[in-house]
Amino acid sequence: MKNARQYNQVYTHVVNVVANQPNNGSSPIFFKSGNDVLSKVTVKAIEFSGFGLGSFALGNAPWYVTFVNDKEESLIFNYPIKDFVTYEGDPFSNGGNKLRLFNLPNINLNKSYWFVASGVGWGASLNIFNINFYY
Amino acid sequence: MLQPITEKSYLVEVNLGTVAVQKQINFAFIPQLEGSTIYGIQTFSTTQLSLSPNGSTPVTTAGLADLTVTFVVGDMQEVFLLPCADLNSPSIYGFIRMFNNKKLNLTKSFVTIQSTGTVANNEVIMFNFLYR
Repeated sequence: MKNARQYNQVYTHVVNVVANQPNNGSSPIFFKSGNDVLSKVTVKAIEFSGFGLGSFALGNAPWYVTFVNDKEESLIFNYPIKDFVTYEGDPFSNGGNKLRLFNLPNINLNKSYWFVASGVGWGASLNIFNINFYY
Repeated sequence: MLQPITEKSYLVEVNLGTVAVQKQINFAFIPQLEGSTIYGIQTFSTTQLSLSPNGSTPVTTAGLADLTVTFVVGDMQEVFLLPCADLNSPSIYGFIRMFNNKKLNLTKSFVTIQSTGTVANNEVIMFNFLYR
């Protein structure tokens, strides 16, 4: 089973979530990245992490992400972000330590987006998450 | 254990409508999956995700056990009455079920409600298709 240590490089994107900010699919939040490294590489694995192992639990928050390329073609569409969780203690980890494997070339992170299904807001305790892209 | 490498994925919702035993609900036409090759499939329940992307309530984990799926290739039912619970990654130690490059005839494929004990009207079952 591949794990993160087999990849040479990783780009970590940090997202600041506004507390109690509801949104839905009609108003997705675009990733804002000043670094276009992902557009030049092929991402091989993706992992989600919160702020400090053991201190976050997404529960069943309906959080979805879509990554697109420069042509705005969706590479992965409405992917449950919790499926990226490798933290074994989270109630919806992918069994723990199973890094999800991908072959995603040239992700345009600025045109990619995430959203929470309608009617669900964020509590004040979760305001940062990281996505690790291994390539 | 071999696990798939996702090249592309697409999440599809199937709304159960008014539930009834042996009711079959066909998949809708999904242009992105038309002519594509499917090699991995996951399902999700409300234990993992409280709402679908369209804001509908997903079935429960127990509800997945009351649903089966039949996937058609051409006119052949190549995957027949597969328990949807078997595709639920958190229920199978995080693994993703892999399929041998199937060009699904999605609109002829369908979900069957085997029991109404744990599913409710207008709940949805979500399928995440890995494709190329």
